[in-house]
Amino acid sequence: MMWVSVILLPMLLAGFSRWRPESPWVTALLCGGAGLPALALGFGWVAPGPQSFDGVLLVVEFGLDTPRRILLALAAVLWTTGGFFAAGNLAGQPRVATFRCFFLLSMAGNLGLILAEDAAGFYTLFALMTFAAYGLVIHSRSANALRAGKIYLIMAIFGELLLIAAIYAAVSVSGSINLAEMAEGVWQDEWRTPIYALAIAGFGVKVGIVPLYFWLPLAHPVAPTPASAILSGSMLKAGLLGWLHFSPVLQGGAPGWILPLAVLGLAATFGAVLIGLFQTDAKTNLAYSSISQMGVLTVFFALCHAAGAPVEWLLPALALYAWNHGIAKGALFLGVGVAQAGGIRARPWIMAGLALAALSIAGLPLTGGALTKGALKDAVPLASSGLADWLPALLVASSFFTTLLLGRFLYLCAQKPHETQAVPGRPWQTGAWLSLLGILLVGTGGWFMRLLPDYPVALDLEKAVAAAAPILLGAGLLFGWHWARRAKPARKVPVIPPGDGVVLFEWLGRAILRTWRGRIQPLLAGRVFDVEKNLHRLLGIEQNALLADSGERHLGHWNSVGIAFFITLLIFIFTLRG
Amino acid sequence: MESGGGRAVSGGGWLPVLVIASSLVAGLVIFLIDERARRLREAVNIGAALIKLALVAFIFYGVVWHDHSFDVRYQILPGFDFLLRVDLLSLFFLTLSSVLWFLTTLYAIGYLEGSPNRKRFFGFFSLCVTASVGIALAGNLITFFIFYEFLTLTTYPLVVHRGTKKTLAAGRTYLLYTMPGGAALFLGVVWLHSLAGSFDFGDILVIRELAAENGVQLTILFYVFVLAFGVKAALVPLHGWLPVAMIAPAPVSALLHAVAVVKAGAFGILRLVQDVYGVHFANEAGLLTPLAVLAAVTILYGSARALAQRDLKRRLAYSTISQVSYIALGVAIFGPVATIGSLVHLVHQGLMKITLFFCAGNFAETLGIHHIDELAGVGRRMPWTMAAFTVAAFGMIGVPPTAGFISKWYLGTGALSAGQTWVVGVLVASTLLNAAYFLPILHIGWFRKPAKPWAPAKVARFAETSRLLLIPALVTAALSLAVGLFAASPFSPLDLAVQITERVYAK
Repeated sequence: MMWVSVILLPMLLAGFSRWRPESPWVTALLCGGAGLPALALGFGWVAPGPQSFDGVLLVVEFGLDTPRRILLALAAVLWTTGGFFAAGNLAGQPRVATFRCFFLLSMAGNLGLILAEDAAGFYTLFALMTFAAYGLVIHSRSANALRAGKIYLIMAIFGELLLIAAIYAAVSVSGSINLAEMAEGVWQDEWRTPIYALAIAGFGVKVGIVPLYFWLPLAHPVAPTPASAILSGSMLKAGLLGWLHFSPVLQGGAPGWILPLAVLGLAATFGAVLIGLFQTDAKTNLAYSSISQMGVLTVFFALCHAAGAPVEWLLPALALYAWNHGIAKGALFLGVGVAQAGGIRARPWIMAGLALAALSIAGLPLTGGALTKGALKDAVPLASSGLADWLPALLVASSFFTTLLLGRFLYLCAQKPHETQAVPGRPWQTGAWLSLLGILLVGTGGWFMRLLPDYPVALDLEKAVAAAAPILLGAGLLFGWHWARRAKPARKVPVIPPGDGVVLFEWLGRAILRTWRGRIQPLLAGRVFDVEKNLHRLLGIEQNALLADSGERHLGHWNSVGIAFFITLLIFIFTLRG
Repeated sequence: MESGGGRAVSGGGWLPVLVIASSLVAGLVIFLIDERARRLREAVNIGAALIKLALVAFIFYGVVWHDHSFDVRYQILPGFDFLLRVDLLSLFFLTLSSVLWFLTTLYAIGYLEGSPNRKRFFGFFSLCVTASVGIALAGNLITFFIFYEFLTLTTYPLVVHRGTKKTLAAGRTYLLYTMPGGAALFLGVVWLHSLAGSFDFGDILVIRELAAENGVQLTILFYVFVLAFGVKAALVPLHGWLPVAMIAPAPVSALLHAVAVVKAGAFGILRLVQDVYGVHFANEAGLLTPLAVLAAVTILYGSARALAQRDLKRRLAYSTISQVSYIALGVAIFGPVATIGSLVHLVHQGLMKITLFFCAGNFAETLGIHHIDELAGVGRRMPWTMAAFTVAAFGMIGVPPTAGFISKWYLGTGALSAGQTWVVGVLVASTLLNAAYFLPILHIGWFRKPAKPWAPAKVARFAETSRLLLIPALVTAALSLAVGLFAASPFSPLDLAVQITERVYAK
């Protein structure tokens, strides 16, 4: 019952979406309350055993292991705080009911897919999350939102298609729909490479790997703030979870794609920062930061497959890294909303909160980021892979680049013109944001104490200095640059358009659409050359058909035909009897 | 093989006869009732549909729980038997058609309210169902042929019901396709009879024994049958009548596309491969691959044409061409998993397509919407109809947990298990096309603003349209969701499809 309620409660509450849309209390009750079962499971307040439901889909199986429990807790925290935030964020706005409905459906998918241990259930919930999130992306109905929604949907469908092909193949070679057995079957099959390629690309759209990340920088700025927080903090991780399910990581397999995937991860880690630095919108900046962080996760995910990699250590460490990034990124996104709604006086406090979350992502000592990076680093020497040698360097470099990118983010937030009049629902937003910051402060350490009681959490001065150095360097560089350019006016238009390469694809898409509208559609619609009509003409059917109205306009005699039919059949049957 | 006169009944032989009689008699009675006696006619109609449902439920119980068999056999001529028999496959089709007939009857009553010539319409409507039930129950090719032709003739008055010049032309086109199709079937039946004598569905050893001497003839015959069934199943290039015939009233289109005509063709192909030639023989003789290729071409062609249509019903019609061919594709892939996909799609496609046509009919009847662009914002005006449409459209795309997801799952994994990797390419391409022509409709319907304010609702409060139009659509939408969500439950379409397949491959 506990497992099912994680999915059913949000779906059930979605049915109440239209109940008093003007009331933030109702929004908070619906959107904030729906994640309760998932919170309970994620933090281990209840721990039911694995359960399977025979009649549903093709047998749905639920269960949890440590990495997925961490991801579930992350998702539940983000959806819940996001729900409370939405109560304030949407107060007095149009389309609240629609938002609630899509929010809750997407939530059911996101939370549920973490529990699913069978391919059909996982794919179903993944699709539910993906398609319902479309409603969140286009929530404002502005031209930008519709454009972002279109690209989101096209890329999502592209991903789903690759994914379903991968799942068909995996199920047919392994003969099982249990995800663990499926991964094992695929690993032992000769067709594994194309299957892996399909799965990596299919989930890669969600993860935002290079070159499938275009939707991210477009969707994040246009979605309502709580939705972007969840998109970045939790939904991207669903793609990572999909990778984990498909990969032979538990079989100790070392597939051939470790290195290519790591290279893609590297490209994302650094490339996204470089592009993100040129953005002028705070939320776009954060989206690029997410791509960069998912790049780090991608590299370490690849490392998990290296021979000798301590998987039982690495996977929880990876999940904790995702946790820390997710919570902190959520706090940053919500903080943007708070900064927009907040008054002048609160401003320094808001900036301080944002800086705290940013530093946690960068990995300043004493923050969760430093802990999780340290945990990943500890695993590296054990893995015998060419990757291992330069992974510590990667983390250091990532700290430096993240500092630059998020420093730029803080600068953009500080630039934002702020409103002085009170915004309705501000307490909800501030409350949700502060709780998320609180969870950020204690959460990561809490997980460490619970999962790894012996882990040396205590501050090691040498390590701390090493961890702080790239951040201080980055911060110094930023201040220096800012000081040097203080006289020049700030840029309003980004040098690189948000979504960068997507511009090319859109150009291509428009060209295809032009050809389609101009040439192909008229052809297929039969306006130029109607295959059937010409066939009919050729066979004389056309003419025959046109002659039809000669005797048949009065269809009255069909009644007698009907009776005649019946009598014939009756006679037929009775003669047969004899 | 049992020939000889009289009846060979293994218990309850009168049941299949009653199932046929329930709609046949209703048809006759309706022809005799006065046009103006609306209530009486509706009572007869609904009563007959309910009786049929009860009978089918009873048969279902007997066959599925107690493994009971029902057959009725009469000798028409020496060597020609008229045989009604309930096996799992016929039960499958029988259940589908009787459930959907009941719902379509309700819908048609709502749809045609106040229009002329309802007596003729409902009379032939009942006869049409009689024919499709007969096709389900037919136990050999000759019986099948009788009902197959009966179906052609009884649907014609439905297609031309409105009596306009356009519908008459469409009806004529319909006949000009289906009549030669029927002739081809006749040729096939007679030819096969001259080779093999009379035999029942399922006696697949007959063909195998003939194969040594008449291999070439059997191959030609197979394609003669494919041609004959292909006309109704709308396989390219025999599909030309279907987009033309969608001019018929919505309930007729719904029935035509979901249970009656198109399904009769697909069902014929299933019978041909599984119960006349036998899957093993058809595979060994290399008969299946060309059929699979033909089906694949049809799937892609239908979807591509659908994408180009801007008229809602035309788009749905081309989509049917594509979707029904999944059935032929699945049966043409040698392997149990794909066969399961094919069988289960027989029911799944029916549920989803009938929902789509019900909804299209609702839009047209309530708001006069025919063109896709006119749907802008209809989600606010008719949320329930649009919701039903959405479920069915997602099903057609194959989005889980709808029915279409399960069909495609079995087709896809089955094709790969059978080593036919190219089929997955076809499925993925078709899914992409399905998404490309269904998702814009959903987007327009739910998210776009209406160009002009809607005409005020005829009925106050919650009724977005007549209840008789809305409820059948909601029921079929719920069913197309439920059969996917609970696919693995006992007695679901999937469960029956698995059982049928086990028997087919055990032979």
